[in-house]
Amino acid sequence: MKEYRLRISTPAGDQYNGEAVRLSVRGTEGSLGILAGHIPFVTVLKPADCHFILPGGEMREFSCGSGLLLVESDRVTVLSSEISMKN
Amino acid sequence: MSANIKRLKLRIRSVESTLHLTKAMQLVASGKIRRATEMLAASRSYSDAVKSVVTALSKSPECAASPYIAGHKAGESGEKTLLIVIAGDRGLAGGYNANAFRLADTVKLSEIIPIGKRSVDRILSGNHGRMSPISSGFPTEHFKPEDAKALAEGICERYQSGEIDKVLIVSTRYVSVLTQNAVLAQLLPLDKNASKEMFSNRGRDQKKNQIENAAPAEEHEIASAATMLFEPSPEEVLKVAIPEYLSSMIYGAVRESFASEVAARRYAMDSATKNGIVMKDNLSLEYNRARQGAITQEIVEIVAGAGEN
Repeated sequence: MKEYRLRISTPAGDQYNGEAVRLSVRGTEGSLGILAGHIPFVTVLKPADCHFILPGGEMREFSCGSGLLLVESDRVTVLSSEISMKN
Repeated sequence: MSANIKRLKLRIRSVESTLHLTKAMQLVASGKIRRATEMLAASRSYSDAVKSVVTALSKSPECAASPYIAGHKAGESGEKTLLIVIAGDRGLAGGYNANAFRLADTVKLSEIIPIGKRSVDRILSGNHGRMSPISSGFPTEHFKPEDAKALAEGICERYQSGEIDKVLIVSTRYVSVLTQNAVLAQLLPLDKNASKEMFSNRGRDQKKNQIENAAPAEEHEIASAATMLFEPSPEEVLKVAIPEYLSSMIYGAVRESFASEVAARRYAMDSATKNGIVMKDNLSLEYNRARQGAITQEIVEIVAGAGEN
């Protein structure tokens, strides 16, 4: 699968900044998965347990508070003041 | 003569103990600079990303009527301005606190949120404005993102209810270890054109931004609001983005100011240590001269006494 740059950011610093192939989060309209090549997009995130898949297939989980998801042509940014990585 | 020697000895001792203090403060400040600049870089990258979302939203036609962008209509009592003033928790940092306060005094305000112990003390001691009810005197060193979020939510509530029309912030921009500038910026209503120059320098040194030591945040600009899809709608995204934007800007400004405070203190204490060493050397010279003079006089007296016998 095609990779893209994923940044999971909090005011205290980036929790993750690297390549990913898929991101699963919960938006206001329901759960959504982001793959490479998604159209430019901004949505509101709801508190939920989320995860993303690394290029090697490894899954990384994190819990996310309310925040914003910003999808641009070549990168995806998760912005929330409450994020904690689980693994 | 011996009274003069004693006085000089006491002064040398006093200068020495001051030197211990200034050296210790300089070392503490040097130790804190690295951590402060790391935290500053982290907060800058977050606030830049949130700012880029808000900038895109502010250009969207659906959000143009929002009070966050269009502003409130000025009431009969005139503009009600809320000013956030960020200063240090302690003094002995050169002109750091004074520069921020001087800039704050130029604003016509109706209420104030002080951040940092010095800023709180200033409001409590003089006629520098009315303390805002949502303020609770936060320290700068241990200011957390949660504190910024609580403040941002309080500000949004008061802004929406019309209790305030404008939100300004006075903070200190960290340019390098040697240069920090006090800046005044507008947070609300959003200034569509000013978002990029949010922290342009308006302090005493009218220099352009030259970020040297702080790691530069990734340039994060959304191409155009027209090509961007907002879900569920730009208005709904704006409602969530504004508190997030305010909290990231406040937190970022506190981190900038704290880095500036420790850098200013390190520089001030470095100068104080250098001056102290020069003063100690001069006093030691004077002391040795006085002591030598006393010894010479004693020898002359003994020789004169021996000659008489």
